[in-house]
Amino acid sequence: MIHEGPEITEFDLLAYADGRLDGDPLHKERVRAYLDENPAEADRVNDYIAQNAQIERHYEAVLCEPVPERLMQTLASRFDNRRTFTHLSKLVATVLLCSAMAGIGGWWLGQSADETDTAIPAFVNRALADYDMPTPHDDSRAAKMPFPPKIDAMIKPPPDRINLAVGISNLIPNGFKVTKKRVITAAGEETLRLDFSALDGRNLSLFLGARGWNETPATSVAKKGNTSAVYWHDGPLSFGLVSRMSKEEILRIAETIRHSAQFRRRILDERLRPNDGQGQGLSAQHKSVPLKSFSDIPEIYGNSPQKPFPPARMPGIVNDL
Amino acid sequence: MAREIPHLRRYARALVRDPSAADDLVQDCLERALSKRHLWRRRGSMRSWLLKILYNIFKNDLRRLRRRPILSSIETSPPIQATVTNQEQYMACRNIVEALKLLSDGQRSAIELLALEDVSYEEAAWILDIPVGTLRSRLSRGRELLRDFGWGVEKQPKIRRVR
Repeated sequence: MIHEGPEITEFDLLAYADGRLDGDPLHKERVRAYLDENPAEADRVNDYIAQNAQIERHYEAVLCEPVPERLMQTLASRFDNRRTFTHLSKLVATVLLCSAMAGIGGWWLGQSADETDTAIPAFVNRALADYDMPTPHDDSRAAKMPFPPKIDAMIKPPPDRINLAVGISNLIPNGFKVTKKRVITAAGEETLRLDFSALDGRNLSLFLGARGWNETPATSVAKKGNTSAVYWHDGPLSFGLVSRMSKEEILRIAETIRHSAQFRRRILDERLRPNDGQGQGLSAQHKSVPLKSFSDIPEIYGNSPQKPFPPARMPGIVNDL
Repeated sequence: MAREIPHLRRYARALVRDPSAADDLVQDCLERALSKRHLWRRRGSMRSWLLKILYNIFKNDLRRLRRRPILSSIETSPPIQATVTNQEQYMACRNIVEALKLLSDGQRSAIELLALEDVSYEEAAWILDIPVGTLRSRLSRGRELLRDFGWGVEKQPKIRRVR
């Protein structure tokens, strides 16, 4: 008989003995035919098959033995561990996620409100301390004195001059009215304090001082006991709004004041901007701008006729408080 | 994984022969498999993957045992006997499993794996971490040795050839 195809090799015989040709019936048939013609090889292959059968028979009982408890326990305990691990992993992941979100949120909030006990400007610390002190009386000086000279010193590199351009009316939150105003002098710096009260009994104080820190102008929050201070700066001035109200409410009022003050300043900036192209001084412009018309309540820092509006090259803040 | 345990125990028993030691081996294998489950690729069978782990542990244990010096007192040491030929050893084997002990570990593990588990040559070579050619070579030589000493169709040791 002629066997077509490749020659039968030792590996084919092994595969036949091991039953690995069952998936290839044609090849298996070729090997069988080869063995039929080669009895010695057939004996050898049959011996291999018998060896396999004996080995399998020797160990076949193991498959029927019950699995020892300790092996099943290994799987079970590991499964439990895995569940615990999974639970812990989820917990850790949650904590990490929350931390990350808190970090991101804190960073984001820090852009508008950052509550921290560290690096609180001295101005705010003074405001917090002063808020709790009993207010003696209205400071009549406040109505007469120019804005804290510290500010002038800071912002008056001749011949430039920038003054406060925010009227009191722009600083009064809705529902509040000014009850007291005074100038506080501490550590050689002067701060204007305005106390506001609402009909429902809420009180808050606004502190205005020379800008004493150079961080980015963001609204920040400091707290001392039950008293919270929301502070920011605008141009050369520092603002501190202090109250025992909730932080959220103080923040909301602070935003109102800040926007109002900025809006007022923008209007003034536009009115004070030279329009003749000749670099005309602000004094001339100012004369045509009835700044007091923007203030509907008595000013405490008057832009009095005795104090002419100073010239300035840059749009700034006009001292009309 | 649990349903593969009987097969793991069977091959472990063939490798180490002692039932308790075999179960220890399986336990190590399961623990290793669970700890390395992220390495499990769903190509091939779970049984082959577990058998590979099992054989690796066995191989490492064997290597470690061989490196460890065997300490025994003179009194308990067996007396040194005169040369015992392979022929006599094979004749003393009561079954093919005892005869398998006299083969090299590589030959024995290959023959037992192919006899016990329905794996392809490629899978078997992967499990034993050897090339397919080496696997076939070990199978052929090991089986021929067993056959030389009578382990074949007649199921009893018989001397066919005297070297």
